[in-house]
Amino acid sequence: MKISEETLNNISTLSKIKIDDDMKPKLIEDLEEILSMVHKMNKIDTDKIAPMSHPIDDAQNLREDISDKTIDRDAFQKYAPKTDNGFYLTPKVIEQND
Amino acid sequence: MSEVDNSGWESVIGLEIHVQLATESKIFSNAPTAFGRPQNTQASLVDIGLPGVLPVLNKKTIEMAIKFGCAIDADISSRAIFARKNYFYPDLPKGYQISQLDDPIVGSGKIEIEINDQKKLIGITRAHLEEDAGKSLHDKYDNFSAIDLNRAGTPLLEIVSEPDLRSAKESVAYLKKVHSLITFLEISDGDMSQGSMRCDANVSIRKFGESKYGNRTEIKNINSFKFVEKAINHEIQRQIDVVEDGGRIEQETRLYNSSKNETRPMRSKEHANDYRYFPEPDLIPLNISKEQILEIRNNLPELPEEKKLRFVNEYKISEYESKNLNSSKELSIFFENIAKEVSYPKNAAKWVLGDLTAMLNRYNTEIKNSKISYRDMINLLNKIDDESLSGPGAKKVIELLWESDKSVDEIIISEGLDQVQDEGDIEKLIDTIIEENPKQYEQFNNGKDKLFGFFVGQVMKASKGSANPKKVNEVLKKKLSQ
Repeated sequence: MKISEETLNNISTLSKIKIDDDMKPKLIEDLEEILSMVHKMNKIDTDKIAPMSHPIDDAQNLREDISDKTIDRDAFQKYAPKTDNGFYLTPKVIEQND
Repeated sequence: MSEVDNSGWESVIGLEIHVQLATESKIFSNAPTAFGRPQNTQASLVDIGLPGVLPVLNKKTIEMAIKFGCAIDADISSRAIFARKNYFYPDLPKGYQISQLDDPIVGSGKIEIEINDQKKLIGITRAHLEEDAGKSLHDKYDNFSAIDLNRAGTPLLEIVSEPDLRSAKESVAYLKKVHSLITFLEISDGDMSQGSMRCDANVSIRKFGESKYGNRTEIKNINSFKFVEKAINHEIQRQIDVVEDGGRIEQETRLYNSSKNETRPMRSKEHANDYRYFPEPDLIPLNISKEQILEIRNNLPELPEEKKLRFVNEYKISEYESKNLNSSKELSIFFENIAKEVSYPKNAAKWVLGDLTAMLNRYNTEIKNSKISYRDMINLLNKIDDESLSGPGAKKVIELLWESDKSVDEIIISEGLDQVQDEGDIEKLIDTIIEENPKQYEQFNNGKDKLFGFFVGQVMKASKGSANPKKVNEVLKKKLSQ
């Protein structure tokens, strides 16, 4: 299974991970190796096996719908790089121009 | 643009409706869900996505989703799984939204709509639970986007329809039906102005008779009944224009701009829709037992369709009136509170749908904000009933109830609307009128019957509308024939 540089660049964009040009050949090689193993697994007939989403054979516990009204915004905002007037500030991101 | 000229084209529409569930706490954290609070005061460690925190599912959201599933006769999954939907945006601090892909909690079902007196079944593909994102404000600061995470983690039920809708009108009818269902079920307040119900529309066109679907566009974030119809009509027409000019419809996401009444493509990259879903490792599968589903099914509240039929039978109102009275749960309760207490429920329907609704429309508000209580309406209807208040008088009372802080009785006294019932009083009035109009009196006696109306009018005028017209007629007939 071949991976093109284009595919690698696409993955890099989606995951927001910058990949230096000199690293690309090695990464492509690694990814192709991983995919060849996936390819091998794909050959196994799993038609009659239900997909397993989780390795634990258990069901989750639920929470009662009760709210905790003691949220300390200032304490949380200490960890943020930039805040103002209770807002978290991030570099300007605009997806729509309206 | 009002109507779309489809000229040989058929539109195919499916809606994705996001409903905010009316829980007290968020879907995966115990932060409150209250609307309109100061920024970031309703966002807990889980909602702001700090490392090491774990989601814990809110039981109530499951119950609400099952309730909806039972109401639309859908398959309920015995084992529901949550998934991560990955994308980067500042108001999604974790970098993924917890949603559902395979095994949604509610499977296929159906909803009946009515359009031009025709019933039509709309297929529901699925309804799944997910968390809402926060809000980004781009205009507040010159060089920054401001993020408010109060909404992050608010439980949403996303209801996906089959592409069974064939016009903007059908889409609105369907949306209204979903709105009435969720409010009757009390799983959401359905308030579109606060974003409790939002809608994306998938729209494509094809020639009539064609069985294949055309390429579709997705119109995002339509937030009122009015805009749904306009946005879809606009998009249908745009697609017809493109194709008739020899163009091709690109599969893309478009945003509707309500002030310009146009849709335009979102400036997104070609791989923006690759969400790389995978099962959420922090939440193991959820088991739903047959007993739990059965219990919820057996305890479903009265649904709009059932209530509509019951109103027709119990209160002898028309199907049309009943449909309108059941357009929201609050209105149906308001009406029934009155109908149970008055002698002619039919009249209650007439006044609630007529003058009271006119006031709600005039002040652009809903029944829950009505300044006129159902007790006011009972009082009013009883007075119309015993003829101490005239129809025009009642109209006046309704206006003044809204515009002043006075009670029904206070308004009747201060406006002199109490109908004059006493025959003696009415006779005196009539005598004066006859005296003042000797010519007409003579002409009437010489056979000019039409003048009867003139005398009724004069008496009503002299009483400033407070005389009971029925009594006036009776007494006048007696007097004039003397």
